[in-house]
Amino acid sequence: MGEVTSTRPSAAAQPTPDELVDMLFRRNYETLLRLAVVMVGSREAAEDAVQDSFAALHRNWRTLRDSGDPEAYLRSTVLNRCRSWVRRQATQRAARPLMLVRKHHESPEETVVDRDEVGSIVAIMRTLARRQREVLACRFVLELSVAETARQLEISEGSVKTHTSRGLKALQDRFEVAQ
Amino acid sequence: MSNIEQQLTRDIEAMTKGVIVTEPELLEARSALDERIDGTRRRDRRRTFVAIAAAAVVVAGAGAIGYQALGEDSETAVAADPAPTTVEDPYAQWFIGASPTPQLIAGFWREDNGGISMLFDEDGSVHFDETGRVYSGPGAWGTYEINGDTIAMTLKGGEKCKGTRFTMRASILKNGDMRALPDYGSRPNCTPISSSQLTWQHVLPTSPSFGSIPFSQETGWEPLTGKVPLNGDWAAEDGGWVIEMTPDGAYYVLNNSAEAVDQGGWSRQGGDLVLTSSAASTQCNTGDRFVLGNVQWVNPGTDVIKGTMEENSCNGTWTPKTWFLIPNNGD
Repeated sequence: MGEVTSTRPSAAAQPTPDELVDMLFRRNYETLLRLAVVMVGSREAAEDAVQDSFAALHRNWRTLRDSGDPEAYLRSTVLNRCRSWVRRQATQRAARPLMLVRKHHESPEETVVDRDEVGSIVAIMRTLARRQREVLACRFVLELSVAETARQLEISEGSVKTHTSRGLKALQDRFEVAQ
Repeated sequence: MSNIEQQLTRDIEAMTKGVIVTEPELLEARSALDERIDGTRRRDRRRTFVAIAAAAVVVAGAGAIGYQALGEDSETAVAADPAPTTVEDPYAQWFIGASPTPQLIAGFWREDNGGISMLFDEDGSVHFDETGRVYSGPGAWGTYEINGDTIAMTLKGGEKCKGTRFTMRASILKNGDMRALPDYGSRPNCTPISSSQLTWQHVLPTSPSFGSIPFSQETGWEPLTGKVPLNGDWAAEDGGWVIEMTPDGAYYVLNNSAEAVDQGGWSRQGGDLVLTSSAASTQCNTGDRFVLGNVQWVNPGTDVIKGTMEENSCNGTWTPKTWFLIPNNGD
């Protein structure tokens, strides 16, 4: 018997947005959830960020369909949602009338870290400057290469290396202070 | 791999190994997502429905023929009711101020509790920055136009996304703050600004909301040392002025309209901060000096400096003694 070929017309073979979101959801949900848990430190908030990102993907599907990389879009959106969540936490905690941020202490985890506790270095990572923590998340959580990280964050490969190096240095310094 | 990299890798592994999604959990999460998507669809349908309703009312006013042509379609039949004037707006309680105009949004803005600055010019240009160089070296810039309560921006330059258009729904509160909700569509990373609800404070012209902290009354002042970087945007304690100092030694004095009235080079000389005007200055002569002597520093949440006025050969009126750094996300 010869090769089995599909007789379905090509237009019918195009998955619907719902089917594609479903496929992407099954393929990426757990990875994105891990990324979000690392970035915010709360599973509930992480689930919310990931759900929100898939909803945004569905909403913007028409635009993304032709030009975008939906998985990169999801990663970006999760990182953005996590950043917003951390900001909101910081806002709720701020007591000053003009909510000025203390540099490097933006995370709700602040600086008191038990070095022996699981997540203690990750907690320090969340206190780094935005680019540094996002680059480290791409490299160490998503395990993207330098080139993939550069594409993901839309920065140059040189910037990825610089932010990685500075981020690790800052992490080292703060970890030593926390000891 | 360095020691800290190994430790970070181990910590991430330890933290994420507990993040396991079972099939029932995945199905539950997928179901929750469907609910969100359906909620959005319902809102979209309601908006479309009300738009159709509004159109139908116009048609009905012009003559009954249009209405009859809609036939038995239940939604459009109901849509002929002139009553539906309310569109469900999930942000109605958030956008309670005045709609933006070029005059209302002109000037220097900072993200409340964040590190991003934004500069609108009435001529239709806009700058964004997160490194303390919104005037002289913004990370992104472009043009804007206002349609109702929405500011539509097109990026012309910067690190990325040139040509990208995005919008920001906004309203201006009585205390001068601007509430905003950016929408990037499918490009979430085109500016440092996140696509979530944000509040912006008007640095220049200084709003009542922004110029309200008596930094000079802080305690614990220390002599300014070389360890405290001075580059960034420094706002006068009482408002009305910003001095932007760049890492390469240039400075710009912005007045309450966010226009540069003086510029030149800055330096530290002992414990003094010295601004020396250049030929590009609009109000001072080349070589004019503004010297803030015996500069002291404190950090109650952001860097604050104060000093004594020792020289002001330009007779500039930007003579406050206390300045605070507008927080940014720079390294």
